[in-house]
Amino acid sequence: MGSTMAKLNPNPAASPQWPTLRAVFDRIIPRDEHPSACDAGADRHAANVLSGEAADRWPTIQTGLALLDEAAISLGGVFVNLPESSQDRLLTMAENGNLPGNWPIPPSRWLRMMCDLTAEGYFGDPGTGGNIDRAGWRMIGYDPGVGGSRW
Amino acid sequence: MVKSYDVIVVGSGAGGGVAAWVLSVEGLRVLLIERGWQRTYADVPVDHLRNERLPVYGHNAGPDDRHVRVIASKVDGPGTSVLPHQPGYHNNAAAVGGGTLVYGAQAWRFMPQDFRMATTYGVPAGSSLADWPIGYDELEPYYSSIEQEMGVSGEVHELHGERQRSYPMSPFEPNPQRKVLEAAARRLGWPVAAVPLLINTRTFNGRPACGRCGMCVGFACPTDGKNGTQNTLLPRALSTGHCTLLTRTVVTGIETDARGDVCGVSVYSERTGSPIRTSIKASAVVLAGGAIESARLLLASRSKHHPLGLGNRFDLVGRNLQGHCYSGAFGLFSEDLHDGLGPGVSIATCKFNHGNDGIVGGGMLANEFIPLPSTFWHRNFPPDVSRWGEPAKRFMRDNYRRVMQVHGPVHDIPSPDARVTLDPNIVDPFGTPVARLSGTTHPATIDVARFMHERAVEWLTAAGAVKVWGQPPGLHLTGGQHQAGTCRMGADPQTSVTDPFGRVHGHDNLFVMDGGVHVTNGGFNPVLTILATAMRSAEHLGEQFNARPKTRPARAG
Repeated sequence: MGSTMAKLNPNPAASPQWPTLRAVFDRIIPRDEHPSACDAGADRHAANVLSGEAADRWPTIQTGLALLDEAAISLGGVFVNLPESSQDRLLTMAENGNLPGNWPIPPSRWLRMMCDLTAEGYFGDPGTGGNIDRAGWRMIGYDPGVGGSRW
Repeated sequence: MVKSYDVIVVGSGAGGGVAAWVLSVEGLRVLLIERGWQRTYADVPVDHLRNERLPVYGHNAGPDDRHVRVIASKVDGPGTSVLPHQPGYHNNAAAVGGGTLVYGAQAWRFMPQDFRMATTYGVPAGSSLADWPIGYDELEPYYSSIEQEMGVSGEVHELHGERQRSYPMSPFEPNPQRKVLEAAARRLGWPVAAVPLLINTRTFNGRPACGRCGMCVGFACPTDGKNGTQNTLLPRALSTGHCTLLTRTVVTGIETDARGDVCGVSVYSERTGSPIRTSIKASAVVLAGGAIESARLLLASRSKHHPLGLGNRFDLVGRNLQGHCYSGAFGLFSEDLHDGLGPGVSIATCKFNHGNDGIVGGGMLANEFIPLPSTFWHRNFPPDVSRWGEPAKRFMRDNYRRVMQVHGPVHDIPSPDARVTLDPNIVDPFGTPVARLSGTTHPATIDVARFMHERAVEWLTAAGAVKVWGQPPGLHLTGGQHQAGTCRMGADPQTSVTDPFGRVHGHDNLFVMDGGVHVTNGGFNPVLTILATAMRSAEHLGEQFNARPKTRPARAG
């Protein structure tokens, strides 16, 4: 694993990589006529689990975000500053395993981990911190009826 | 809590709930011990990522993280310690009602052939496929009693065994999925009918009908319309005045006296807040902690008279661990098939449970409960659809209501090497060696699973799916929420752990009344069979005590 990223960070949302994570999330579930991942609070769910039950995954995610940013420079700047089409190009390169650097896990697996985290925060119940206003559920037409009275 | 009872029942799930009810009604003084909590609906979190069915980060109905297990590929090889919500642990809820508090509540009887698998199919080399010592006819009155007492809604499947009485409740009205699959089945010539459920379709036993929320699997019921032992048989047991319920209490061992006879249990109780260790005496002990925990407790109860644990003279306790592989497929349709009304599971065929050329056994196939959106994301996507960007978002938006899953439990071909043993290294905080799980189901089960996958593909294709996908499962250890087999019943003490009434061979007063006694586990969810078998065994134990008249109801007609 990368030398500067080895420590477990109890507050991932305060790390320098957090804006990159949010930008990646918003390409995983982009804004269209429905909210994007971060519009719906998927990053809040991620902050919760990455500082808690899934804290052991944060170093891998953080390293990947840093390597993504390094690769982004060759396309014109850090990830958050690139146009969406360039951001998508980088994620496609991750999917195909074509990102340089000392990845702790294959970039395609890293991307899949990010996708799952994003989707959990978009489609999980509102108690997880994400799916604000049940935006994700309204988009797909899911309604738990009387089972939803506790959120 | 007094210090001596007629019967101690360990575990308040399916089998334990039934045993406590039968024995209390017979007038015996029963202590029902449960390591989990008594939970109302408000006490079972509704977290879609932390529940007993999708435990991504945790779960919601116990047990807590002190109850670790070890998983190992080989019984004496290196092992990994796992927490209850983690893959490989094979958890079932630990709470009053056990798994029946949070199950999907499919209420299948086994078919007559399920009790005589060896006679019907022969014994695949290396497997422990065997006949039960009892058959469908012996269990039929008890299946019927449980259906009437707890409440099952359903309709008769033409391939099933004869039944005395019809279901007390009719099934839900057909939903869009049922209509589409039923039409396809008619074209294929397959017999189909509703899925029987321990769920109210009308007011029953003073509780309302299902509220149609679609969160049956892994959660407690918001309207108390789902029937578990905790809201049916246990309240009745408690109202007799003969049953004491002791929660938050772990049984750490079965105690034996100077002659080696079972005389009670040792416990670690947190019922009052501060932990207490004590012994509780009883004339008889019934184990109903589930196939894994009951086997573990027998193995862990070692003494000078029982150096290998109780009931384990022939090294059988813990072997033949079974559950079910699930096999099936997904289909994408060009119209919405999701009407938003739970449970969602509504139609099944039993055509492929038996009589499949060249196949040992088979399994039931049904559509699925309404999936949580999180479950859909993790499990229901076609492999060729991107998981990020507009394509992924659009797939969820357009197709959450258009994907149908058909799958079912494949009849396990058991292996003697799929087993529960005691871990040699790790002892839990209460002083008992933890369970080690090792081995896999017999490889021939995977052939059956592939066959069932192909039938699911056939059904979905005939139903008009525009795209069909899915993979049959690979070889793995089964158990989980359908765990069974570890204390198999039989007439011969050299090849079984209990007699046909669940009495542990070599003992007069030690019983197993959970799925552990199943010789084989059917191609169906096993809970109704666990309930019926426990009722029959508990009735027999009650007769042993020469108590009041039997609880068996009069035959219909």
